[in-house]
Amino acid sequence: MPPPPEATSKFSPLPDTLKVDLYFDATLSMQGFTQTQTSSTYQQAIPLLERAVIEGWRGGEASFFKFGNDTAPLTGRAFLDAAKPQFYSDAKYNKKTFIERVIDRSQPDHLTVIITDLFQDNADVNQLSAKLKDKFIATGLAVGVLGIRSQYQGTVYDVGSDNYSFGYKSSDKPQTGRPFYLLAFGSHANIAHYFETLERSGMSSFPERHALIFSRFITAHRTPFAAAKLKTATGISEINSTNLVAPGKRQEEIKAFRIIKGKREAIFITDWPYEPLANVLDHSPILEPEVTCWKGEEAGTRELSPVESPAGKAALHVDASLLQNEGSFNRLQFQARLNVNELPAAGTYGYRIVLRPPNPILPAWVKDWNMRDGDIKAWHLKSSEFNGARTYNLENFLGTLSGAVSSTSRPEAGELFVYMKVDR
Amino acid sequence: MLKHIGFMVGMLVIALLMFYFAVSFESQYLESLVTTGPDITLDAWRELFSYWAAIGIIIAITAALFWFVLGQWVFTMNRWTSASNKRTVWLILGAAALAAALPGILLMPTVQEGGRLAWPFYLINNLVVFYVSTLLLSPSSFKYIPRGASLVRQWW
Repeated sequence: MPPPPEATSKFSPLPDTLKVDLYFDATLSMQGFTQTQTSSTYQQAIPLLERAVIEGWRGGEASFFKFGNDTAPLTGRAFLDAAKPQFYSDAKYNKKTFIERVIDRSQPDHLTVIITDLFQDNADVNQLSAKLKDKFIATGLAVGVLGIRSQYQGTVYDVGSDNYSFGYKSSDKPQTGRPFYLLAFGSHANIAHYFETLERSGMSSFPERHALIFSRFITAHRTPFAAAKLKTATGISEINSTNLVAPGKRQEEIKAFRIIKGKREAIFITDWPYEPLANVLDHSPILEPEVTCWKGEEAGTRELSPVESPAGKAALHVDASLLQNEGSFNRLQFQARLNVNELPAAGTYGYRIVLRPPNPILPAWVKDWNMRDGDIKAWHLKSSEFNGARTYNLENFLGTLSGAVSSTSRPEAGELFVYMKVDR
Repeated sequence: MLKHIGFMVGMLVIALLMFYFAVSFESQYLESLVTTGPDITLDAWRELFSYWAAIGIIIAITAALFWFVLGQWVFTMNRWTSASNKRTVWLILGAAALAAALPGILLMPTVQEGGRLAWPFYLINNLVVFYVSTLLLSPSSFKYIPRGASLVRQWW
C-alpha cells in the first residue's frame, strides 16, 4: 500500500528571529495599575515584556504601540512610560478599548501581544472572538492569554452592560489584585516560548498568574506508535510495517499486523509516552477516535491501491485514553479490536486513526476571575463591595475562543496508522 | 586429494542449498501458521527461526564432515567386513546432527500459537543435511555405510 499522506498540520518549530509587536491598552481603567503606593506587578512587568523578546529569540525585535480609540507607535524607550499615570491621560486614546483594531493590524507572521485589562462588553466579545477565530485559530495559529493580578488603585470604567464605574483599591493579599492580561496572537510555539521566557525573566515571582493557549495543538510530538510495545495481543502478530506499506515520512506513526486464517477476533493493547503542551485547555482523559479505513486492491501495479472501505471501518473498534501521573497526562493507552468476520474479504487493510479529546474545559481559575452581570447589579447598589479582582466577560470571551477551536480545528492527541494483512 | 576436497565442498554446498531454499520456504510457510502475540514481532521470530535453523545445519554439516575425515584419514580398513562396524559411528554422528535441533527448540521465544511447528523443521533440516551429504559423499572406503547408499553410490 502507499505510505500515509503528509500531516496537514505540524507544530511549527521555534524560529531564530521574530518580530514582536506589543500594544499597551492606554484607556483610563489601566491607570489604576500605576497609581499604587509601591511599584505594582503591572509596572514591574513592563520592562520584562521587552527583555523576554531579546532573551527568547536570537534575532528578536520588539516594537511598541499604544492603543485605545486609536493606535500609535511608541518609539525608543517610550514604552516604559506605560508605568506612569500620565500615559493613560491622553484623551485621544483613553476612552474605548478597540482590541479588534489591533487584531486587524496584526501580522500573522509576527507575534502580537496586547497588554490590557480585557474589559469587554458582550458585543465586543463576540466581535473579538470572531476576528480571532478567522485570523488566527482557523489558519492554524494560536491565541494565548496570560492573566496576572496586580496591585491597583483607581477607577474601573465601563463595567457591565450599563457601563458603571467603580473605584477599587487592592489590599496586600495578591488575590485582591486587579487582573491585567497579555493577549498573544501568533504561532503556538512562539506564544508558549514567550510566556516561558517571561517566567524566566522575572514573572515567576508574581504570585497570581495563569496562562492559557488556544490552538489546535495539545501536544507537539508525533505519535511514537511504531516503537510502542504491545502490552497484550491476542490472535494477532505484529510485523514490520515495510511488509505492507511503502516507505514514507510517517514510518514512526505506523504499526502493521498479520492475522492468520481461522481467527474471528484480534485484539491488541499498547501505550506510549504522551507529552502535553503546557497551558493548553483541560480535557477529559477519554479520547474520541476518528477512524478511516482503506482496503488494498490490486491495480495491476506492484503496490496495492487503497479503496475506502466502510465495512473495514465498522470491523475495527478502538478505545483510547490518556493516563495521568502526578496530575498531568503522561501516557496514551490504545486498544484496538478487529472483528475479522465483519471484514468484507481477506486482504490488506489500512486504518487512519485520529484521537481527539472531547470538548475542552476551561480551567477553574477562569470562573474564579470572571465577573458576572448579577454581581455588577449588586455592586451598583453597594459600590463599596465591588470586587475589582475579577474581569467582566472573561468566561464568555475565553469560552467563545474555546468553542472556536473546537469548531474549526479540534485538537489531536495523536494520529496513527494501523495496517493489517488478514487471511481468511 | 582433489577428489576428497571436492566431496567436502559438495557437502558444504548441500548445507548451503538446504539453508537458502528449504529454510526460506519453511520460514515463509510458518508465517501463515504462527501468531506471535505481544512479545515479539513475526519478522523477529522468523529471523530467530532462520538463525537457529542455520546453527542446526552448521552442526549437522560439521558432523557430516567429521564423518568424512574419520573415514578418509582416520579409520583403517583391513577387512571389508569391518566397514560395517563403522555404522555405529555414523549413527552416533547422525544422532548428534539431530540433537543440533535442541538449541532451537529450547531457546526460541514462546509465541501465542504455532511456535512448536518449527521443531519438526529443525529436526528434518539437520537430518536431511547429514543424511544426504553422507549418503552421496562419504569416503569411498565407507560409501555403503549410510543406509540406502548401496542404491545410489554404485557409480562413484
